Amino acid sequence: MRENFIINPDRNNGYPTFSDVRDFTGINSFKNLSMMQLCGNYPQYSGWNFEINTVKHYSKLTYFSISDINDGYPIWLGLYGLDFKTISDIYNRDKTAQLIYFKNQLVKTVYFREKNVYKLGFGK
Amino acid sequence: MRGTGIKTDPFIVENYDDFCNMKGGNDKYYRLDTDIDFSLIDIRKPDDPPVSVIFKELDGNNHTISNYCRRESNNENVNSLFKSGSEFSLKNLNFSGIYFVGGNTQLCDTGNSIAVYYDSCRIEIKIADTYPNLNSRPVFGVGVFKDCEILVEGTSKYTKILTEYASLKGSFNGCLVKVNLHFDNPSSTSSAYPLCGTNFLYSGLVGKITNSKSANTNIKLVDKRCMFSYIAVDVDSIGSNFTAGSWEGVNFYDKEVMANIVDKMPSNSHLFALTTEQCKDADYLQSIDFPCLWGESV
Repeated sequence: MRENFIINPDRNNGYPTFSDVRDFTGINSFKNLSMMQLCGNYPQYSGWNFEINTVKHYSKLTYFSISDINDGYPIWLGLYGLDFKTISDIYNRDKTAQLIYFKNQLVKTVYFREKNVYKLGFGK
Repeated sequence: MRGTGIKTDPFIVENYDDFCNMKGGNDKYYRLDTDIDFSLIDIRKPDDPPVSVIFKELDGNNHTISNYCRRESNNENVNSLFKSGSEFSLKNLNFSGIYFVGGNTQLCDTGNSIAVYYDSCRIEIKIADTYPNLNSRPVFGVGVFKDCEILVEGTSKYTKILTEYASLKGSFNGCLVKVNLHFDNPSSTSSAYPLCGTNFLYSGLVGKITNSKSANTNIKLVDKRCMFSYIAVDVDSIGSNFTAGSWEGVNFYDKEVMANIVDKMPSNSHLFALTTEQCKDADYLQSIDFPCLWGESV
């Protein structure tokens, strides 16, 4: 059982750690594949509704500014290749769930700008 | 599944199907022989039940369970990875990219009073806990941790990292715990309990906690027993409580990192308020009899 700390300036931000520890300095385990599942009555998310602050629609990219996720800080969400009707459905919180297709392919991945890549699971 | 389930010949978990069938009985031993990456399986649906298990011990054999995301649409339901009706042990097991969205997060759903023992585990978990009132279950239930590294990030209304019920057994021993939590308490008089009810022994707690209702949010980091441990958590503000039931041996906190709440810290001869430089100086820590050496990490 560990009973003696060590200090290594390169570990644990310089605070006491243990000799056999791989600490979390610089670790972001959700950097590459953090999954967020949306289903049911989306856009309800994790008990909250999306608070969509801004919607900008471009030819291929759509960006949402969403609060109440990402530790409460707004982030940009790029829904790649969705048509405007789908975006309207998402914006309308009363819509029941539906699958989102783009070019006959189920959309399963959404890129959150400046943060993580989230994988979406859609359900009926 | 290979093996007979006894300690010297555990069942060998070789794939996802085996992983979902660890139900041999609460006297059986299992050992992981592979990583379990849920993102490669991708067959789960939101609100699918967690992995039901019945065993005495799972030896992760230093393998990793990763990219498990479970969404719970009912705020009052438990959101978990494992579910069991009896206590069990996890050792040498890594959790990475575990994400619980909605509901009341409890990594291993064993109810309010059944212990889960973690030995030499490394846990990275993200939560978006939406349980609406104070009687939430803690992320680790009645967790008994030995020699573990734990990272908990995310948002919560009332989440406790361990438990108020942990007065029975719960403890961190030889652990490093890092938190990055935002408490979104719906009531201005509510409380947040990151490590409530916990024995905190030979362990360190670092990180950051913010509160959406900062003025009246009470935060208890440790309220049972704290011994040879330290705390360096940047908390934006708290209401009144930041306590430990008893301080034993030598403990310290970083008074610079915790400048916002220094005036709420208890005064105790077993608790030292140190500068950041002192917290990171093994010579100084030895001078106050904190068990620390200069050393190398793996």
